[in-house]
Amino acid sequence: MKGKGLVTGALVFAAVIAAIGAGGKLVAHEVPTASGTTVSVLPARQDVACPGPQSTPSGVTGTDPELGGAATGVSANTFLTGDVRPVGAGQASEALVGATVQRVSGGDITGLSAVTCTAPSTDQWVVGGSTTVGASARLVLTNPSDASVQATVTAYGEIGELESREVAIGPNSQGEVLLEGLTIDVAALTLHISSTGTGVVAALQDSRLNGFQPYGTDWVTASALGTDLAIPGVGTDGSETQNATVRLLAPQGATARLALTTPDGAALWEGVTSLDLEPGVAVEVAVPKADVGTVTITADAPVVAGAIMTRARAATTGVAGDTAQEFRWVPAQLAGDDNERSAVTVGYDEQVVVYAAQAGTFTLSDAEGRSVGSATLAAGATATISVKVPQGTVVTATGPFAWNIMVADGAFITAMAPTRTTIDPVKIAVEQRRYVPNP
Amino acid sequence: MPLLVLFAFLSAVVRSLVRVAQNDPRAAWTELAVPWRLLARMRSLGRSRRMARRHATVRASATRALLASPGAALNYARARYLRSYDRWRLAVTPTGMVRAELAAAATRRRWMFAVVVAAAGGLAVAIFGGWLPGLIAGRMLVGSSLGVTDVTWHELWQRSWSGWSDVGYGAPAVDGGFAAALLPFAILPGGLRLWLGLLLTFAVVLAAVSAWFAAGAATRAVSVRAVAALAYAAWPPFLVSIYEGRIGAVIAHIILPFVALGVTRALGWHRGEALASGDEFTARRVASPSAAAAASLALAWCVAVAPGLLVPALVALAVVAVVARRRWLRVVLVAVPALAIAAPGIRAALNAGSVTDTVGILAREVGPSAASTVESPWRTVLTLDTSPSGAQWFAAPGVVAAIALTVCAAALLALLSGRAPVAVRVGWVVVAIGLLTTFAVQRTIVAWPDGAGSLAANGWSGPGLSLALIGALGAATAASQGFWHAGGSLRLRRIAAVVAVSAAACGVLGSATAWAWPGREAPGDVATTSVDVLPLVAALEQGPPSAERVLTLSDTEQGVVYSVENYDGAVMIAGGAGFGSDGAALARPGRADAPSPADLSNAVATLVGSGVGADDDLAAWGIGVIVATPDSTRALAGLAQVDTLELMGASELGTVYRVGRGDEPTSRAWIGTERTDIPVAMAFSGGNATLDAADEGTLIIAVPADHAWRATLNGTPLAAVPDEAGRQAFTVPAGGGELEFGFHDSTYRVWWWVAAIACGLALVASAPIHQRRFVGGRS
Repeated sequence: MKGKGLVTGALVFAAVIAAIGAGGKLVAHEVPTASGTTVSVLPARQDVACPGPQSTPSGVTGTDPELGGAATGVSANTFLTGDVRPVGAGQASEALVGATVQRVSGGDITGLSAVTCTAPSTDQWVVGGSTTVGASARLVLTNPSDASVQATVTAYGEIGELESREVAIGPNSQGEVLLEGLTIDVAALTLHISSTGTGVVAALQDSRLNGFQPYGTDWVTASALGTDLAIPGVGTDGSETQNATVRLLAPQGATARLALTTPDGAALWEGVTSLDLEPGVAVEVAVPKADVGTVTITADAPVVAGAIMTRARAATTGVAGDTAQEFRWVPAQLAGDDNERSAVTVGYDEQVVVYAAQAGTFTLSDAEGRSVGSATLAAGATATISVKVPQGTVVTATGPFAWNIMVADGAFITAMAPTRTTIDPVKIAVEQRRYVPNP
Repeated sequence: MPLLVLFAFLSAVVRSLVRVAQNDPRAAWTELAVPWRLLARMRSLGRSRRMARRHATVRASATRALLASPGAALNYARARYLRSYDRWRLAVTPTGMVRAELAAAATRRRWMFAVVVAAAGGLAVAIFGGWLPGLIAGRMLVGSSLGVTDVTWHELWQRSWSGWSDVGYGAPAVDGGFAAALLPFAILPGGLRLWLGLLLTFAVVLAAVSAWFAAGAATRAVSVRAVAALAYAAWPPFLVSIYEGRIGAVIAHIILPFVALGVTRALGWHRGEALASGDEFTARRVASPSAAAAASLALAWCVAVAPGLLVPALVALAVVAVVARRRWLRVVLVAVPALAIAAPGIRAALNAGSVTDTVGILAREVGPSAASTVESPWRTVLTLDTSPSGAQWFAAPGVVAAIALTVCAAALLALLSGRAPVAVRVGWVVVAIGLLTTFAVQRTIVAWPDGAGSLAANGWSGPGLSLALIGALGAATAASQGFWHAGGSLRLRRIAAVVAVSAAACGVLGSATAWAWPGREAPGDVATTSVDVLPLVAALEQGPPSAERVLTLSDTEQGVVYSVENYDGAVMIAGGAGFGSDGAALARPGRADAPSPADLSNAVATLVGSGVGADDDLAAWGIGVIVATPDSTRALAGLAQVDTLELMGASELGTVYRVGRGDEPTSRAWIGTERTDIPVAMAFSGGNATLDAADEGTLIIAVPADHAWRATLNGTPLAAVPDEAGRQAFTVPAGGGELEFGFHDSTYRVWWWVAAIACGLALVASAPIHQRRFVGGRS
């Protein structure tokens, strides 16, 4: 029994060791992982929307008739084809592009403001505006879709990220955020607008007063986010009464390099070859006095940017010798964007400033395909083209060019950026997985 | 007289069941034969009565006084019963000395049991107690592999009874054991939500209790029992199973000790209470057939929730049967209900194309399953694959492997000691079987994608390791029996025993404490959430009559994930239909081309890209509602722009769109006529409708075509016709009347009844009714 017990004991021990040994020898079969497919689909085209007229900021001068802040001599025009319907104070239609322009000859918002009507976006940056004393920043969010959306507006300034606000916007309606009510005394305001659903069309009304003098008004629209940006249409015409400033912000931080190209070639601009941008901090850089040209920005991480050009003019109210001011905002575009883009002319004195990322001939054509202006450019060159077409003409260009329409009526100035009119198929990674709610 | 015959037939069934309960199968057969023999003798009865009447010399009433009255007969039977009962009682009643000793042992036992329950309860609350407030507040447990748990008993019953699994577009199921195994929880007040939640929360306590009872068969030393019970309850892979919601592994871990206990008692191997004299009480261990029946039932439950345990359990039972010698048949019978439940799976495994597939099907995970990483066998044995990351004390290998090391050392000591040689060797063989099972299933794919969104998974180590743990603990506890009382150099032995048990207790409690330590990261994602998963408007559409399916869309980093759901959230605890490596349902080998929601990728991409034309693809399969789940802005942006979708509502649970199909409503079954589509009410796997005479067309059931679907109009079977989309279709002739259709799989139904009868008989037989113990003075 003793010997037998020893043998069986050794056997069972050996069996367990053998099981462990055999376990290591077994072939482990690879577990197939979830296999999603990537499908390419052409998204539906969305309606374009215009923000509507500019409004006089609420406050003492605007509402008190004795102080004469209310807008007078207003002439406004919206160029939108198709089946135009009102959306809040603005308009929307299934057209590819539209524009709205407003000229105010008296009151707090004296000036010229024009804006391109674009399709909504779910994620956009608006670089511009200010909430310092005398300045009002009114963000107009337009939802031209049949579904309600929720937009989150996050304000950034010269000290970094500031405040956030959620805005619910019903179907075919507008939402408004007065930034001075959200965060005050921000000179270098920059907004990030993310939204659910189909997104929103964002436009920021930047209106300023200096005492009782109107100090300019314009619409600020969305800037591109990228590492290679161009802002065509920045400059002072070499004039002492004009100033230009570039505002930049890197959401994740970046080192950026700025340059100014005029039709005469590169302009001298010192101290901007290696600009350190802290994450979320808006930085303003003065542009040297030079002809109107293009500011290019090269960065090692995505940045957003916009430029403001101010022009002093003689005041029409108040004491003789007072000066008033007018300005325009120009958003940055992706420098190498070669997609077809269009804008609509609004009349007045219009010029197109174009920047070529690559050498080529820039041709601006109207709806019938007739050339209304062209320029042959070397890589990195910029040019100004005078455009003489009836107002409401849709002008289109393709190729690796960044361009903006500069609009001027005497001392009144504004600018319009073109918007993309083609739709790319999007690649969507689709995967099937049982729906278990998140706790 | 005819009434008597009829009664004989009826009573034979009842009497036969009583015989089964009394564990007397031969008498059970005899009882069933009685009425037939009675019927056969009817003619002779008449003849003999006639003969008696003809030859009678006195009147019948004259002999009546000579017969015993019914009262006297009853008295006699009762007297015999009482006499034999008294004799039995006298035989089993211990002496006063022994009684006092037993009472002291009972007190000790109860106290220690209370300590074990309290310790396990504390551990359970410390680790999983966070689920309790939610469960009490009416929330349910969910997990990525567990799915939702607020499932009604009716859904489980339909899944088990019909043989149809309605996951995705539906598929014929191999078996319905898993759903049936969860039914007991679902029929209790509070439903599966509460009881499954409590089961997972207090699984540690239940495991401790079951291990305590099982250990009692191996040793009467309460300290050893307690340490063994806690080691079993705090076994790391078991805790991971709970964390991950692996219901099958959890239930198997809790039930397996009862199988071991039942087999031990069935063979009369269990220990009696040790007396100071060195004897045991009772002196003679009575082998219990009822225990064998209970063990078979427990094993059937284990195999239903964890089919992978069948083969190792059969091998282990074979080993035990060899050792049991005379009583081998009883051990073999323990496997019968489990075999009946697993039979369809075994058939599918034998039909599999390769050895790997055979192993994969035998070890298939029917309930919640998820892929797990495979580490070296030694790390798996030492449970080091459950190590948390980090440098804290509880992540140290020595702490993680404390229980495994303790158990290994104890089992090795048991083997070296040479005590209880048979039990220890059987235990070690079970360890080998359990480990081999673990390593084999870990390296095999045991769950293949079902086309409805569940992912492939390799086998989980839990059930195999539970089996190995039982073997090791059985060996260790069996060898410890009597160490305290018998043998030489008593003092030294007792000191050694105290040191060994204390060390083991420290190891077990140290490991348990590490799991409950604050800041330890949970290795699974089971958590409580509201029972409302989909927005109410969507959940309502899933119910009768239209029984529409819901397409859910959720954003991910790269794109979008979708799922087709028939219930308020992904129900995975009803058990999957079972699919092979080729994508075909195991119940229909070779049919790898069955349509499934996996075909919807393009439709989903179209929706998310706000393209048009996806509606028809969805409506063709009864998908009438699309839900963009919360925080799915991309999916919502796409849906919002599709003109043909109609916004039904939005809530914090998601945004709901109705799939447009012109004016025609979407449903899971409809009759396509030339004029319009007539929706037909449909429940789980069938439906009916009253048709007008003009309703002539094709009945479309939005399920993959299968020969087991039947439809009748006024009782006349309808002809099945091919459908271009692969759905089940029948021609409906004009004339109107009652239309009925449903899924009737005769093979499935046969196996269902076989398993049900096997389990039913085992349940009856497990009733502890003594077999004629006091009657006839036989005991």
